[in-house]
Amino acid sequence: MAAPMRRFLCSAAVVFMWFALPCFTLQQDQNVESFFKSGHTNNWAVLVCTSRFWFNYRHVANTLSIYRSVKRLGIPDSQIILMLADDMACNARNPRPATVFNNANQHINVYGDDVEVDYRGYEVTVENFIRVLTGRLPPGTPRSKRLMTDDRSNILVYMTGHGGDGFLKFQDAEEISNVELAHAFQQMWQKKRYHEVLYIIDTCQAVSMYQLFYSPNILAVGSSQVGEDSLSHHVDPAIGVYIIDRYTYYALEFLEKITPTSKKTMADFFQVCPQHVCRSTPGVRTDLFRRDVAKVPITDFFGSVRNVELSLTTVPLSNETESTEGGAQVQKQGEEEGRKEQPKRYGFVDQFPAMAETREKETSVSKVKFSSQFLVASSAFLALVAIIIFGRIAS
Amino acid sequence: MAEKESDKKAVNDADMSSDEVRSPMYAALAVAFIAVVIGLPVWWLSTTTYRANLPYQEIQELATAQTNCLIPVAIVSCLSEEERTNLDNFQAELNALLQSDERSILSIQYTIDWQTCSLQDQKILETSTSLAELDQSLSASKDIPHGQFTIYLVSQGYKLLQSADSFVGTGRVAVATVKDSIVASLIRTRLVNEGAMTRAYLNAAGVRLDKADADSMRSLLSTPGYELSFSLLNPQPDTYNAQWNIQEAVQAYLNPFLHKLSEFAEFTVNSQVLYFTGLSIKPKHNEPDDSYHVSQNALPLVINPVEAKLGSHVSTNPSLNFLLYIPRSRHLPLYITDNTGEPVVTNAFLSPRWGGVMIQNVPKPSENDTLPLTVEIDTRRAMEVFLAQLRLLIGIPQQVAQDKNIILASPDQTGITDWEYDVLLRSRTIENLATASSTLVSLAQLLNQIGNIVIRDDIADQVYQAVSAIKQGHAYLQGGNLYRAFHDSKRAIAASEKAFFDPSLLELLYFPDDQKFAIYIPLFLPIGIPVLSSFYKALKWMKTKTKTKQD
Repeated sequence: MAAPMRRFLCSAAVVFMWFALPCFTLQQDQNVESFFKSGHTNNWAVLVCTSRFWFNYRHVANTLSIYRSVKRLGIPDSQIILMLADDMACNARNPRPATVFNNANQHINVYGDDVEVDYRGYEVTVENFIRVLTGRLPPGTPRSKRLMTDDRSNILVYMTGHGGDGFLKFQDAEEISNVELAHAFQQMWQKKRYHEVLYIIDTCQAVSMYQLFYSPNILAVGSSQVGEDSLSHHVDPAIGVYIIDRYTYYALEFLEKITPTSKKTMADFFQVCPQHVCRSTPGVRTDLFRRDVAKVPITDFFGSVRNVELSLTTVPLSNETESTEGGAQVQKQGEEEGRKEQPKRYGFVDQFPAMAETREKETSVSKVKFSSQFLVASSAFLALVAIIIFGRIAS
Repeated sequence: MAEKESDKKAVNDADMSSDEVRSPMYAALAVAFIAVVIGLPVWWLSTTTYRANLPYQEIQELATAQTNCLIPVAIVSCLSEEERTNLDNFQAELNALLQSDERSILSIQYTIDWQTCSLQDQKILETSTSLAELDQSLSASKDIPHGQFTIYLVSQGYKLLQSADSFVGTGRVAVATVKDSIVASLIRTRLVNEGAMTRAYLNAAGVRLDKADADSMRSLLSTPGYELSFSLLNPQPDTYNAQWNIQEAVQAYLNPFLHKLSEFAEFTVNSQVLYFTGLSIKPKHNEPDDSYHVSQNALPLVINPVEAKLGSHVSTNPSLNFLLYIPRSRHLPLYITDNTGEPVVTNAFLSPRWGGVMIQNVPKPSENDTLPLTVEIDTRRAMEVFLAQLRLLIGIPQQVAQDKNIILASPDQTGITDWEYDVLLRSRTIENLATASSTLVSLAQLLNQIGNIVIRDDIADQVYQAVSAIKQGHAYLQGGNLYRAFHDSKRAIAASEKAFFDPSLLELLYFPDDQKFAIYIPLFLPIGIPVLSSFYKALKWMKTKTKTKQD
């Protein structure tokens, strides 16, 4: 961070200390400083599957399974941004059309009836992903495609697909590098767009993607170290492709046992896929995170536990509408307004211009007008042509 | 053989100095000249990203600038003869108590205008029969602009105050006795609420506390507008036919409040009734009075299942949802209990930055009633609770537990008193200015760090506008003109957000250094090597030519 910024924050922190004492002593006779249980007020999730094509079925199943868990634990659809190529369920090769399964037993159809995919097909690009994170979307973007977080939002970011050392492949066409991702998170931090972030990535050489993060309050988990591959779990012979990855499979096993009131912590989540089961070594990055991971409940990121405050005060209002006269008057006013409003009708704009206007235009169109520049230029040209022709004829 | 070699050498030497060699050498020199003088600059200029001029210096200054807030106070002393002698002491004491630290980054200063009681004021103080009347007449006699207030000092045994020491009206007028530091604490903690201002500033500047402070987490930061939505949840419409005249209620109870705050933010109100939707509550049966209790600890997960059904809004303004819930008939009457097990009077709770929920108990249907039973919802009672919650969610600091020394007049139909509105405006102004400054500072940092972001002219325009609005806002705040400072701060934050979140500020393709080399080498090396080698040969030839000339 630039020196002035650091100085500014230091001085702000010092000033807080300076003000804390008088503040607290003044407020002692008024109220005891009330604290909430957690530092966040809302939860968001950004779930990205970066591959397309039938043989990458498992990546879509990964993402949709995490989507199901997160919805089950309480985060509403309006706060989940789901980016999928969405070409599995209705793929011509899918022997179970309109379904996506994450297990050979085919117990749960993770596609379901109420999946809401916000970015689908070719909209899943690096540019859109960075725009969603940083908030720089074009003005007409609907609310469901925006990440409307504030400085008290906890965000879960889950990415899966094919990755390499320092990059992640997006739909076989482009790549996002770890530098870009780190810059995106820093811009979010600068603009106070998150309180804490849990970044989970399930790809080959996953750890390289979060190695360059430098913004505070980020907790990161990767499914494999640099130089290692993340492997898939099992094949479903009925569908014909690998349907889930190892890390996500064991993570889901853990998440299935979590209820919205669970007391499990993030430290438990990080133990989820040891090397002898996962074949790759998951990596965790906690140095940017301020709290102790063993004391962070898992519902801080995967669920949505709200802070509540009991309402102890009311604003006294006098009866405005219950007196019969007043009520009748208001009602009459409403009726009159209704009657006045009735004649107003809405219609479409005329497809063709109105006749009066066309008549005017016709009268004006009959004369052809040339601009003065055109006249000057054309006369000069014609004069030149005439001179040359006469010159030729003469010679 | 030796002769031929020496002949060849002679021929070569002759070649080196003959005229035939001259034009290729000149050509090589010309090519090198064009490559260096024209080519290199053209390549450099065409591969730099366009950056319009930005006032980087001024933005850096904004980062470390001090925020000075000046608050003009008028104190009118209507004291009796004996107390008037101590007035000088009191003045000195008050000035000392209101002194603030000049070095701190947010400095709040007061200018006190000492006035003597006019005959009119004296008459009003003597002839008023109630505090409300006193308040009304005093407010009517003076026209106090935004951000300022007047305190009337009265003698100790003033009849209307009785056992209290001070009274604050619904306008910008307060009445206080000269006891101890009553006036100083009245100014600092109620009328100006320095705590709220400091919190707003620190929040906007990005200072994070270790513990989650309820007051700073409750209200949304710096938004230009709010979407309010009122929903009635009726899980058993076959049992209850709930009638609520929400349109009238909004017009009568909410619109005065929104109208008063119309300059503060833009409000949109909508309402809906949701049938067959309930809160997933598992209340415990309370034997003594045959009621059902929900404890405070069970409330955090109540909202989630309903949230999906509340509907989403079109605009990008944050939404505040207010739910009125009619319990299922088997759970009637339903009360929310606090930590001690006592039912909460309002039967409502608030979720910070989201909205509030209130439970409306309706009479249980008896056997003879024909279902559905028509129930009329008391919208006035509901609006009283919702208005209190809305005040907190917008950011009006909570006036907790009135101690018996201060009488605070409750607001009129508008739901907010003038001095509370001033407190809100002042803290919002400080928040806006701090947020706008930090946005511009982060933008400058971002441009410094990431080399290939383009800055168009209109974005530069927005940045200049933001900088000038911030400076003007600070100037007005320092001069005590709250109204203008607030509007400048609104302009500043709108411009800075527009500049920062412009869609064109996307980092163009990022290339690590080795990839940059990989792109340029195949283009420049095949051409570069021949040019350089022929240039070198030409130089050598030039040297030999000058040597032969000298000879």
